[in-house]
Parts: sequence; C-alpha cells; structure tokens
Amino acid sequence: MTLSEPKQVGAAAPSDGISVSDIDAIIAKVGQRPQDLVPLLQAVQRRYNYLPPIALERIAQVTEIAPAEITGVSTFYSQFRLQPVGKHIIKTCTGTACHVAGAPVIDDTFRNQLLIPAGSNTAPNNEYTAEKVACLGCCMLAPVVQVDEVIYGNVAAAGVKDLLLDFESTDKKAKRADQGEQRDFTPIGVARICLCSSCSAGGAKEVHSALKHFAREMGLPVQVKDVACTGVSFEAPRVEIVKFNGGRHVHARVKSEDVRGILLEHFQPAGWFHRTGAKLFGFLEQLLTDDSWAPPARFSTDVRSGADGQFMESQVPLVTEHSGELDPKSFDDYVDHDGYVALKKCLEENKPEETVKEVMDSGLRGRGGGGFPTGLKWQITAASKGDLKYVVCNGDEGDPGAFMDRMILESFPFRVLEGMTIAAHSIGAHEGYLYIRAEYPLATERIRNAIAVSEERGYLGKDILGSGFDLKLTVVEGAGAFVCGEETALLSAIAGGRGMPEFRPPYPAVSGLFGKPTLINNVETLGLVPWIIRNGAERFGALGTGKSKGTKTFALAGKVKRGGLIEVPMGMSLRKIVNDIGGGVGEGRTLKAVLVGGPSGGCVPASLADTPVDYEALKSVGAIMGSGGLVVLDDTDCMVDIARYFLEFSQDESCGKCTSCRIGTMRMREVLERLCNGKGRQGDMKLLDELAEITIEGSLCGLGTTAPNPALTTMKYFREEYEAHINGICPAKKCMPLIQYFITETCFGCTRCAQFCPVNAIPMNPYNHHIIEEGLCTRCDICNQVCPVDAINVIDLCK
Amino acid sequence: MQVTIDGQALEADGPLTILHAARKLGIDIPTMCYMDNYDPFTSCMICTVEVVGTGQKLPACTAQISDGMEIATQSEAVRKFRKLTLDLLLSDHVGDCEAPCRRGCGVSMDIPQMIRHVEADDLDKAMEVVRADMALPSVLERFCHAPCETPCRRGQYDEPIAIKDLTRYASDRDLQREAPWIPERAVLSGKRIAIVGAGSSGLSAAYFLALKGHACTVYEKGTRVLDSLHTRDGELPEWVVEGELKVLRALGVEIHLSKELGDELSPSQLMRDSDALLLAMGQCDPEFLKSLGLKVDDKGLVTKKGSGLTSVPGVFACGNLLKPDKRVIRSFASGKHSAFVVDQFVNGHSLIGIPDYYDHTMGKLKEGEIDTFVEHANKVGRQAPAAGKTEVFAIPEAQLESTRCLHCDCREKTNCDLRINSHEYEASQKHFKGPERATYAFVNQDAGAVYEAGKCIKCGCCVHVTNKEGEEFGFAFVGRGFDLKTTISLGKTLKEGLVDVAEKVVQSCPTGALSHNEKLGRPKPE
Repeated sequence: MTLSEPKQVGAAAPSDGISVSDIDAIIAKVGQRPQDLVPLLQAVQRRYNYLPPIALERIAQVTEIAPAEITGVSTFYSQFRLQPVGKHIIKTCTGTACHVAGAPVIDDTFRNQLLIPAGSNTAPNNEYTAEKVACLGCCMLAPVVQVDEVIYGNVAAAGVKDLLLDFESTDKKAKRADQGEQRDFTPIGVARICLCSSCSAGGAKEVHSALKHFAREMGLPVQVKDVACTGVSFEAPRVEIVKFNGGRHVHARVKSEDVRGILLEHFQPAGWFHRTGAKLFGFLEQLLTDDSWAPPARFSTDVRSGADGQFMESQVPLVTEHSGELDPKSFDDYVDHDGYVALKKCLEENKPEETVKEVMDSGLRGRGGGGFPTGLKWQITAASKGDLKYVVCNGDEGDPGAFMDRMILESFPFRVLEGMTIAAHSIGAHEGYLYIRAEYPLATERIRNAIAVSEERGYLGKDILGSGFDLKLTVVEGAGAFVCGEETALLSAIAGGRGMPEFRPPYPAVSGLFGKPTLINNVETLGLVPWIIRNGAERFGALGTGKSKGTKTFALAGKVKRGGLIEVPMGMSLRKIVNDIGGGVGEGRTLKAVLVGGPSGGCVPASLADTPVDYEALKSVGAIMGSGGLVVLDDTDCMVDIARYFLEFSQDESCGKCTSCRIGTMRMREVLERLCNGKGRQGDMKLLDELAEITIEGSLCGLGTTAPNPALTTMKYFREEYEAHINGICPAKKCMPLIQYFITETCFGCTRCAQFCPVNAIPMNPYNHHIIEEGLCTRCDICNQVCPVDAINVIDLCK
Repeated sequence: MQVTIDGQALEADGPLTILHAARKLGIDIPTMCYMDNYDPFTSCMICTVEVVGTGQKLPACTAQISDGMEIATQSEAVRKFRKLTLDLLLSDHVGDCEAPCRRGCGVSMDIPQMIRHVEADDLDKAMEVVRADMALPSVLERFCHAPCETPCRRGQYDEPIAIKDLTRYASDRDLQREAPWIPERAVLSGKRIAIVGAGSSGLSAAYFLALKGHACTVYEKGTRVLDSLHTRDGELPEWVVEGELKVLRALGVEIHLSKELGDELSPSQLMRDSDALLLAMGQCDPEFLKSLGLKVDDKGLVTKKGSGLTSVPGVFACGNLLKPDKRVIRSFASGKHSAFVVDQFVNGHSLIGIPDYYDHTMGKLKEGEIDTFVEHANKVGRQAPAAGKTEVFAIPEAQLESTRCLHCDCREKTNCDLRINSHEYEASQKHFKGPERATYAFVNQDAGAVYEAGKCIKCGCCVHVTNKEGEEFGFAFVGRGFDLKTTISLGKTLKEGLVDVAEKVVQSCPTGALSHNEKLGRPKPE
C-alpha cells in the first residue's frame, strides 16, 4: 500500500472532493502527537463538515496516533459527525430552559418542515441537517436555535418557516451592514452594546452593525463599544448611551431598525448634509410606512430604576465587576479597571505561599460544583514534588441551563487569565491549558485574543513583568462531552483521548496531566481570584455564609420574567433570587420548583424556596450547588418529564465506562419514559430507587453519582405526580401521549389553525367550528399558538 | 502499614491495591475487567469491597490500601452491590448460556456439545457428554418424545435438528463397540442405597447414585428389567438392554430380580442395611403402600414436595409412583432428580435436587435474527437414516446432520466470569429488564476468534490487549453511554484487527463475547 493510496474503509468511503494532500496539509499544520488528535479531527471537520473515513485512515497512516484512538475519539465527542451533512446545520438547543420552553416540538417541526426522513438528520435535498445540541447557553431567550453561525431566540414552532426564510437572507445583510471603519472624530459619548452569545441570539450583532453603520454614515460623534455583558439577558440586545458630560440611557430589546432613531435622540449629526438627511429620512419613513416612527423609548429604562434596576439591585459583582463598561477585547480597558493589580501584587510583593494563604483564608471553594476549598487545592499542588506542573482552567461548562462560565470567558477574559497566572505562579507551574467547550466559539476567540495581547504586553509568556516567571497558556477546544467537566476526564481529553474518568486517588494535584501535578480550577473560581487578592481575604469572607463565602454567579432562566447571568452573595434565598431579581413567574402562574445544579442537582420545591444558596443548605434538600444553573419552573411544568429529561441527558453524556452509570442511567431513563408515555407500572418508583442506589454507589465520577438526583428529588417532593402518571394522567398536561388537543365552541372558523397545522390534522372548514383529528395530531401546539380567540384546549387523553 | 481484610491482618510495605492485598491473604475477590500486568481499567465494578465503619465502597482492583484500613469483601452490602451490578449487566446481555434444546431436554443433556463431538466423529467425547446427564441413553432414545426438538432454533429456519436420532446414533454405536465408554465413578462414599423397582426411574436413579460413589442395590419383583417398556410400542432389543446393564454393572450397581417388597423384603429391613431407600415401583395400590407403613391420603402416597421424601425417614419415592406420567423421559428425569435428593440426604445436605445454575436466555428471536444463526451453519435440510425411519444414522449421515446445528449455546459457557459471578451472587436478568433487548450479533469473518457483541460487558480487555500487543488495528471503544461498543478500529474486519493476538484476546475476554473460532476444529460447511 502506498501512502498516496489509502485503503478504502468498507463501502461507505465517499472520496469525492476529498484530497489526501488537503488532509496532509491539515496534519502538517495541526500536529502529529497524540494530544493533537482532537484538534486534527476538528480541523478535518471544519474542512468537510464531517469526518470522511479516508481522512481518518490518513491520520492513522502518517501520524503516531493509534487507529484505536482515532476510532475511539472520533466516536466519543458529540461534535464529530461520521456522516456527510447538508449545506446548513440547524442546531436546536435542548438545554433545560429550552426544553421547558418547548424545544422538542421545535426540532420536530424543523424535521417536518424540511421533510427530513425518520432515522436521518439531513433533508433529501441536502440543504439542511437538523441536530439537537446540549445547550447553547442562551437560556433566557429559550427556545434557541442556531443555524450555521446565526442564533435565533424565542423560536416558536409556528415561526419555523419564517426563521428559515430569514436565515436565507441573513448572510447578505450582515455583509452589507459591516462596511468600513468609523471616521476620525472627537466623540462626545459612547454607545455600549454587549455582543456575547446570549445577546447575539437576541440580535445584538445586527444592532451593533447598525450602530456603526449609522454613526459613520451620519457622522455622529459617538464611539460604538462592545462591552462585557451585564447579564441582563431578558432585555437583550441592550444599548446603553453614555454621554461624557453625564447622562446615561438604556435602550432595551433594540432592533436594528430602531438604531437610527436612538442615535439621533442623543447625538447631532456632524454637518448640514447629514442633518438634512436625517430629517429627510424621518420624513420619508413616515410617508412610506403606516405608522409614524415610534421612538424605541417604550423599551427605555433608566439605569438603576425599573425592572433593570431591580435586576441589578441585589447583586454583588465580583467576578462580573465592571460589567456593562469593560470592553472584553481591550487589554487597556481592563488595566484601566484595576486589571492586573492583583497579579503585580503577587509577582512583586507576595511570596507564592502568601498568595495561597490569602486564597485559603478567603474561604473560596470550587465554583464548578464540587465546592472543594480552592486554597487547599493550591496548597496540595504547590507541595507536590515535580519540576513540571500544570495549571488547567476548566471551561467545559456542559450543564444544560448554565452559561455563567461562557459569560465570564466572553466578557472578562483578561480577568480569568489574571487569576490563572496568579494560580500558576503560586503553585510553580509554567504551562497551562484552558479547556473550553466546543459550543462556545466566541469565548474561545476572546480568550485567544486575550492570551495574544497579554503575551504582547508582557503579562504572559516569558519573564512576566520582569519577574522572571514564565507561563505559556494554550486553549484547548472541547469537542462536546459533558463528562469532560470531571477533572480526570478533562485531563484525558486534553491529552487527546476519550474523556473517560479514572479512579481517584491519585488526585490530579499529585498526578494529573501527562502524569504531572496539575491544578484544575473552574473559570469562575479563577475569575474571583484577582478580586480576592486586590481586596483581601477578609472582605471576600465577609460576604456569604458559614462555609460558603463570597459570591456565586447563577444562570437564572426558565419561567421567570427577568432572567440572565446574576452574581449574588452566598446565602441569598432562592425565593429572593426568583422574586426580587427574576421578577417572579409569569402572570397567573405559580412557582412550582427551582432546578438547581442541572442534571447533577435536584429540584427544590416552592415550599422550600427559602433555602439559601449555600453548598451545605442545598445539599440538605437533595440538590447541589453544581455549576450554578437555576431553572425556574411554574405550574405548567411536569416534574416526571423534567426527571426524564435529565436522565436522558445524563445517559447521552455518560462515557459508558462504569457498569452502573452506563446501564443504570439507561434503565432509569426507560422507566421515566414509560411513565411519561402512560405505560408506568406499580412498583416503578421502587425500581427507580433501586436503580438510583446502585448508580450512585457504583460510579467513579460525579456524573454517575449525581445523575439520579433529579429523579430522587422529584420523587421525594412530587410523589403524587408520579402516581398520577402511573394512572395515565399528566397533571401539568405536558406529556404528549397523555394529553390531547381539543377546539372549544369559542372557535369561529377563521381557519388559522388549519393553515398552520404542519400535519394537516385540522380540516379546513371556514366559518365553522374546527375539529382536530386525534390520530394525526402530533401535539406540536402550533394551533394553540396561532388561534386568535384562545379556542384550543389541552385535556387529558380520553381513552 | 497494616490492613485487615475479612478479619485477617496483613502487614504490607509499599503501595498495594486491595485486590493484591487480599490475594496475599488467600482471599478471592471476583474480577472481570482486571488483568494482571495491565493498569486497572476500573469499569465492571464487580471487585467492589466495603470499608468497614464508613461503608464506603471501593473498587479493589484500583484502590490502594492505607494504614489501619479495614475491608470486608463479602459483607451483605457488598454481596448486594455485586448482585445489582450483575443485574444491570445481565439486563444488557444478549445470548444464551445453554441452548434451547438443552433447556427442553428432560434430563438437561448438553445436546449441542454432543452434536459437535458427533460431527468430529469423537464417540468417546460424545458419550462422555451424553452419559453425564442421561442414564441408559440407548434405551431412552427408543422411547423419548424428543421435547428437545420443539425449541430447537433450527426449526425456525427449516426443521429442528434430529437430536433424538443423533443421540441414539451415538449411544447405539458406542454400545456396539467392544469397549463402550464407561463414565468415571466418584470416590466410593461407603453409603449404601437400596432401590426398589428396575424400571426407567429406578435404573436412572441407580445410575446417578452409582456415579456419585454410592453402592446401589436394585430389587425388581419381575423377571426382567424395564419390564413396562417391553410392553409398549417400539423395539427394545435385548442387546440394548444388555449393553446398558453392562454399563450399570461396571459402575457397581447390583440388580436382584424376582424380589418383591412385602413381608420378606420390608422397607424397615432394607433401611437397616442401607443409608436410604428409594421406591421406584411405578403406580401402586394405596392399600399396599399403607401395608408397608407408608402414609397415604386420598391423593395417594404422602411425600414432601420437591424431594419425594415419604413419611418414613430415609425412604424416598420417584417416577410413576410419585406422579404418573406416560412420557418415558419424565421417569428418567424423576430418577435422576431423586438420585440427587438421596445423595443430598445421605450427605446431610438440604434436599434441593439438581441444583440450578445461572442460565441466561435471550428469549424469543427477533425478526431476522434466525438468519444470523443460520449464516454459519450448513443450510442442508434435515437428514433421516437412509436405512429406514426406525434405523440408526450411518456415520456420514450423522456428521452431515450435525453440521446443521446452530451452536446456540455459548462457547464460553463453562468459562464465563459473568455467568460464574451471576450464579454466585444470585443475579437476575429480569430485575432491570429494559423495554427491548439488543439484536443478537455474531461476527466470524474467518478470524482467529468469533465476536458476539451482545455478550460484551465493555470491560475494555480486548482494547487494552490489542493496544499493548501492538496490533495494527485492534479493538477500539466506539461511542459512549449505553451505546458504548468495542469494535475493530477504522471499520476494519475482525481478521484485519486480530492478526497476531486472537488467542490472547479470547483469553482476556471475561465473557463469551470473544471466543475461539471453533474449539473442535469444525470443518467448514459445504
């Protein structure tokens, strides 16, 4: 066999358009070592949109990577596709917030709309491939769909058709809007907008382009600045106009068509030509449209008052300090906002052991879920013998319904790097890795930018700030595996392998990456370090409760009026978070439970909403702090469905190594599925208890030992709902096989439901009462969404 | 440092896993995914032990001992943990330990094993299999209604294997040899057993009791053995009876004809000279039984359910006396069962009869699965003896018929850690049964091993062995979660993946997922 003619693999080896020299070029660029495997596969997939067998063969031939590793790794991570895909990829987010907001129906609707056959993901014309994705981290805009690089928020099944039409014109729009740079001028103010993934899902990129476009076109003396996210996702996109002579105005839920008006409200065009143009524009607009142009002031909120103010009021920003002002891409801006003060202190004044002591004294505990004392971890790693040590930042936030780490990485990349540099210096590491989830491209981009700039400025790399201390940081992109959040799995993933956890001890602090002592800290943990160093352990410890010090960020989502990224002192009650910050549940709804900690956590029922957010208190009610996802549920949510949802997630994400996690989570999922399908049996709850027991006891890592929590806590607090399901009734009317749609006498025959029904289950009958054919109905809820007179009722399935 | 395992103390220096510490003390901890000379993979969790005091569960293959540690390897909690772990594995295990024919056989003869020996024309080995479970096969196979052939999977493709004809072929040919195969008798026990009645059940019991090393004396009131069979349809040639009696005699069984139970030969008298008495006289007049001092009610002889123990200590009943049944194999089966009960009685054990052994079953075949089974068997139709329906197969006929067998039994059924542990911890395949079992898979591809993916427990042994031994492709993990599988890397065939290490991989596999391509050197079907 010659090298230029790799052997064909089986029958399915389409070699069309795939050239060996392209693959060789990728290998030459990326590398040949075992730890280069994931980046290699990612590069191949970027090139071909999937992993052609011929490419895998080639990698096996010319690199030192074993075929078993290539097969093992390419089938382990959810990012990798082994089959060709359509031209565009639709990813429906199935995170918790999206799930409760109806994501399963959205995915089904795309498939129906695009005529994707059962068992396949790709439309027959190869235009689109529909996939589900674990969590896009835009929970407050749920349900969220990503088509190629465009994120759509608040998607409804009835709007799927329009979404696709919109997508097809998106690329052109984006190109048109972003031409040229701003002219030289002396700005008298700044328009601030966040471009993080959440805000982008709300349309921030378009608004940002429009801001730049109009500012340039009309010669307005305004600087357009992208800033760190305020976390106020429920108002995204949000434009804050700050005039240097004072005065701040916030415009919420801005659309690109509003931008011109907003800018003109605050700034005068530079010359006569522009001024006239602006007026003419308004005049023409009035002529050409029905309504006169209404300023977007209806969304405007003054800072620190109204909804926005309440949202911010109870928060204490430490890791999110200077949100809304800081340009996440600007090193200088970070330095201007106390950036690198802590690092300088550590390099110039503190001895490493003093830094460790400061962190220890602060009471900081791991923010990734485990809650292990951070200072102790640093101390153990510092004490481990070895000339080579590593520091690793765990940014593999995979909990569906959590996006704190993404926000921090996207909005405060320099802060994370500063914390990491301090950690490395304290333990004596000169190399470090940031492992960032595949679904967070912007976070990766901004961290890469921050590393490059910091190296340029001497804050990373050789001889940092002349101290003689070296640190080389590398970004490793995850490829889609929740279990890689577990530290031993994470290390295996960085080394290029399957993310399969290992028995501990030995802990990574003693034997970690490539067998060397390794400090692994979560993004938020590292992001808090600069604040602690700058302000002292005492001030940090003054916040929070007995064993839970400082602040904690949460991704507040689900059925609250105001959701987003929040940072609150430890010890605040869930009720206060839901009501004061979140504005409570929707009109006419009641709070049912708060899901804390995602698939590893549990549900805290409304009756226990006074539980403080504190590691021990949450544990005592059956939940865990986890990474900090808070999904609020109201009376329309089904607890059995929630448990089923989480077990499905854990099962999909189990690495499959430990018997009890591999099979136990599957059996739990199956029992919950049959309950949701009305096929439950007496004794199913006992069976779930038994399965939970062995899954917890027999699993090596946190995924398995916590996976049963959602089932256990929902069974504990909502037993009667399980019993109802055994009897074939879903009290929340959520489980599709247990409900049916029914049109009441209110129907006056407008035919909207019949027009929108994607499966023709409602015969068109103008001016008459419409009827749903039960056998055809897929319970997609579109009729309910489009009915103008609220004539659609959801009732228990009549048997 | 010092550790205590199951109450035994061990002084150890240097790092040591709990498993190795236990081995130093001669304490056996079950393992499946662990291999000596390899890093532990810690996947199956069967080696889990308990830390006394904290109740913490640790995988013994990986966790290291620490000073003062106290470990329990067989506590109730540990046994329950292992049972539940096995229950989970079994809920995802596709295959049969024993073949459906063997389960259908009244005396549980290992039919497929016999068939493979017939195919290889190894009569000694075939008879060793037959006589391990069946008494007087040449007699039985002239009367048996062949309950084994009904469940025979081959019947789902065309017709069942001619099991009865093959068994008769083997045993008749054996008896006609100058030196028929005689089973090995256990060490003499010194126990004496009296058996009344030389019919099917009595002689069957005598055979198995003799195999267990007991001295058996059979008393028959008639003038010939197996009298009732002579009166029924079907030939029972004298040479067959004589041949089978020779085997019984070789095992030390004494038969006294024309000895009737009564005043001259009373149960109490027999009990004085024996350690147990087994009544196998067939259906009897209740008054007669009463006269012997046995308790009788309106349903007949009063016995303990399951053991056949009568109201008189040490006196047991079997066969038609216990429960009339016209099917001859039922009498043979009853005699065999009673032999186990009586053996247990004389040894002071509890009377459970033939002990059950864990036997995994895949249940009804799903659509298309029969093709997977037939793929590697000869597709020729069912053979009949050319000499006539009542005649015996000629050698080539028997061999040809044998090639039709689908080998439904597991190739590793006597050597499977999953089965052995499931038996030990009384695991159940039903406890955590899923809604649908996976499809049975069988891969041959002319490699040195055959691969049945449904029997894989994802322990990773094959992956680690092929990797360490430097196979170019070898096994890889594929996928994750419940769908985790092991297959040959990069879609290569089994043969391409197992060039040098087929034998080592088969040795490393704790279950029947990977087994020798054919232990018996079975010729390729035409």
